[in-house]
Amino acid sequence: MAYRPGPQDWHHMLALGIVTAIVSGGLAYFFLRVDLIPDTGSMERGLIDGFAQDLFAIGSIFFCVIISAFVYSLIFFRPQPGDESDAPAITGNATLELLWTIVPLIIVVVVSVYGAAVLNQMTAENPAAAPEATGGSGALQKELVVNVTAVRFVWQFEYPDYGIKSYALEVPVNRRILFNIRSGDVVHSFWVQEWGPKQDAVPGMTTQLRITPTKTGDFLVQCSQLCGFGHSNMTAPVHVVASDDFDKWIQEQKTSSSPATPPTGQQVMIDLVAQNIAFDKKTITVPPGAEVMIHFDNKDNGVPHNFAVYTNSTAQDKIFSGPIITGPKTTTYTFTAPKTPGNYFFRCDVHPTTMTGTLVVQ
Amino acid sequence: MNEETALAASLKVILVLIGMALGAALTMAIRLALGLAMWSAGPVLVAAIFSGIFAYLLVSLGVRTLLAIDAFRGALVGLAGTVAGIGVTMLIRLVAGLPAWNADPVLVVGIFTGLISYLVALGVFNYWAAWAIGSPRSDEDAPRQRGWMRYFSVDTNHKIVGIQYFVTGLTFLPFAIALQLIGRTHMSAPGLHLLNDAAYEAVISTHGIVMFFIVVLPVISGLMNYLVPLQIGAREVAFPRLNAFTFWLIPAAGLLTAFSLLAGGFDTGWTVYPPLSVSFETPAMDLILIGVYLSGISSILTAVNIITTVFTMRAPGMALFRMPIFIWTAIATVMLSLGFTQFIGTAFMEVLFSRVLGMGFFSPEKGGQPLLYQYLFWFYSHPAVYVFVLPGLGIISDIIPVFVRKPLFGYKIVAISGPGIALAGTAVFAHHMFAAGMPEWLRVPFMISTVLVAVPTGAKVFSWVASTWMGKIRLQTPVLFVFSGAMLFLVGGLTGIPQAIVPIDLYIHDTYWIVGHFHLLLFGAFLSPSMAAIYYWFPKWTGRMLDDGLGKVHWFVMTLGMSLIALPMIELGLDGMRRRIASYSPILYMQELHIATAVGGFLVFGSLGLLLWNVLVSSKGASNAGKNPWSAQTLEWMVSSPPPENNFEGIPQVLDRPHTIGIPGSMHARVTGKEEAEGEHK
Repeated sequence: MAYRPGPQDWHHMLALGIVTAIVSGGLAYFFLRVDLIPDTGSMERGLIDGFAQDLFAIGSIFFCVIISAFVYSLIFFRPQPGDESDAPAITGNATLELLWTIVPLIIVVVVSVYGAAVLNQMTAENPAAAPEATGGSGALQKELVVNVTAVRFVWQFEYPDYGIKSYALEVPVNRRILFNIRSGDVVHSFWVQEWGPKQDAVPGMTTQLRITPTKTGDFLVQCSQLCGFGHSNMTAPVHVVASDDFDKWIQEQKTSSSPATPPTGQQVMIDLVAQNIAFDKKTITVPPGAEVMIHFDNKDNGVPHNFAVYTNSTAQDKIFSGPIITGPKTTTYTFTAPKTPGNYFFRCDVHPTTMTGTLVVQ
Repeated sequence: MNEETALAASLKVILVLIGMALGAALTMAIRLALGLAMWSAGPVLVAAIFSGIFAYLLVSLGVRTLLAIDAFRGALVGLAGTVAGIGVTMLIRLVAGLPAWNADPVLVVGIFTGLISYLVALGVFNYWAAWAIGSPRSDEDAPRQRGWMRYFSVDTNHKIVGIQYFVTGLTFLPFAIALQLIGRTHMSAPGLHLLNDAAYEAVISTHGIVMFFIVVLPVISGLMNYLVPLQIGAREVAFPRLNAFTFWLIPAAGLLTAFSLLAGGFDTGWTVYPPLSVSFETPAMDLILIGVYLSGISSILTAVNIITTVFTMRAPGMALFRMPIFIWTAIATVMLSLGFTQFIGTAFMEVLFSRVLGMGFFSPEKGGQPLLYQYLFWFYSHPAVYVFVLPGLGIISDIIPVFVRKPLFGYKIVAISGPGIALAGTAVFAHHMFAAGMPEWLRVPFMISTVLVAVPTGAKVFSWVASTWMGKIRLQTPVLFVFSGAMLFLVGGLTGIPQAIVPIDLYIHDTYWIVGHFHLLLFGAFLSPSMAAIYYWFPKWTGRMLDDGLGKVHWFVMTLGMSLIALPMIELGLDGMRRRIASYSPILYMQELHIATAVGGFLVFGSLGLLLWNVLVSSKGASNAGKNPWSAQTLEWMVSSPPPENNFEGIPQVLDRPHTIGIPGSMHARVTGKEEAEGEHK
């Protein structure tokens, strides 16, 4: 015995239709206008953000249709006190059931095709469609290749075109960068939040990620695949700079990695212990221009540390950076102290915020 | 209290204290013998507590009664077997010229010998062993114990096994929540440093493993064991002895995973990705690998049992399209368990072999491939999420009609959508690996298969809402949990769509978004329906109603808590907060959102106290439920509460669909009483 809707049903449905239209329109408008994902810093992130907003708007319409009908039922379809009788036996409606199978099917297929198109645009080797990638000049620049190596809790960057290695990632704005990502031990994941997509670093293979930064500034590479107890702090600084500044940085790096200026002959030896993610010394005092030998003792089992000196605590200009060793291990770092007396900054590059100190040259 | 009983009580206390002291002393002696520091708060205190419990049981029950309880005997012999296994392995190592102690191989052998001794001492193999050697067998189907002791003994009645599973799972629930409460408190204030980074990772990893394999799977097995035979009109499951065996693996699995914290904890997350899990972890990893493996065996064998029961033991007239939706989802669930659990078993065994025997399945330097593990792991672990949620969806679908006093809207499409979701769910596993380095072109087909899951899932949700339309909704506790669960599930499902879309997933992957998403789904389709199941079926299990007022308070506190946990995580994920990190800058990510999740966690935990209180209050009250307190129509409501030992006296006749509420003259089934049944046979 099929249930036949009467006028009362149509009144309820009309009321529900109006409520749903208002609520879903409002929420969809909100999701289209609000800045859902903050701080866009690359062409790829721009594509992701735009798509996410559209998808949220579509999702919010579904949400409102269901929630409105449900809340409407809860408010209006309650028994009178003492009414123990059953409700009308509506067993189903073939048209409705077909409708709410077919419509979502069409929507998800369209959305995923759209998604594939966006993915294609993001990962294409030659994103001619993206004007940002031409550096504003109209001509497409050659990709900048950066080899990324992840080992437990440290990122290393190598620029094969220039023969430079660095613990900070310096890249020019508005130029497409190809990251070749490798891992030396466990699975890590390379991610700069402002740039959007992430890519795992898997031992034994090289994975690739293409990014076109569109915003200058300082960001962070964050490991986003759990790699052990030091995972939270496995970050590396990222500097997105103008094209000229990048060239300048390349030149500086090349000169700084060339043999140091001849030492003045004076030698000092200093013992430095790293234990429990801390140095045993907060200040180290050396004469100007001296050849400094640091006997470095890393007592942290399984934790990498190093010793690096910078001009100041922003750690922009490097004076010396020793190779990272994983404890328990000792090594000796040798570097030439600055000739100008003053206060300089030293730290462990692996733990740039917690393991810091002052190098006093006097 | 007279002098004599006072003396006896104080003697008891003294004996318990002596037991605790002995346990602590023994542990410290063993630690010294192994060359470890004598004092470590965790192991020593746990040993003291367990030996205290042992001493208490001993003095209050006596040796005889205690040894008659299978669980106790099993535990004792299991412990002895572990110690023996460790001893023999160390001896063999010494003879072979190796250092006696190497945690991984020694512990693994000890665990296996302990496990076998435990199972043998329990008596789960007795019947099969007797059958194998051809000795005469007693009538095994008669329970060997009476009263409460049945629940601590090997018992083949599906209702006993169901309760054993369900209560074991629920016992580990507060433990797993409490672990995460420590983690959430730690995260609510970045400067607090309640835990060091390794301890934080260990806490969240253990939380995940215990929840999935020791809470969710056993609770689901429990519900299926109890309800499936009753709802299809059968007197038992198809393989009762196998059923008892599968249950008794769970306590061992639970203790192994919980005790992993004492063995140093593991910090790989519940995904246990190598090479991290192979090269860098403490022996805790071995305990986890074996514990999950046991839970997996239990899951596969339960699946065999449930499938056979449903396909061969339905009452006359119980056509497929007359089964309650819970049976449909149970079938879909166990098909997934049966077809896919082997893959995580393989993956975990290979990690164990890599750790103990140095095999190189996943090490590139030994010719292995780390991604191989991820493929194997997700090939199970994606279908597994449907194992976690499908029974809950069945419960929601079956409870709604009873409380809106209407038939289920679109019964057939809801019934088919269960297997539909399961089928779609088998072909989507690689969506967990969009950023993992799998072939790039594969991402698009997996994106499309993933979004297709939305179609049968959506059909279910639409049908639920349509079922409430024009109903006469009675807002009692079970249906409140069902409604809030359906809404949490809806939000969880919608947050899944951006994840399925590759470009967006590459951003939100491994952020709090993912954590929020699956917590919404598990809250909506596991925790809320489980609570609904307790309030709905507790009268059937015990014959007593739970208090509705207290239940509504429980519902409110718990639902508020669940929303506070999961929704802020979605926002944190959009802001780019990575999951599984132990510290963060409050400048970048809102501390208020972390505080909200912590508060939510405490609310959920506290609400379990309200549930416990409700159960205790009702156990003091009268047995007042009657056969059918909710005016429901499925078969379990046509027998007494609690049901008789063999469920049905006569053979039930199934006449129509379930939930034909309000259709005049319609009736799902007819059950004949004992006298009538005997009349039929004459």
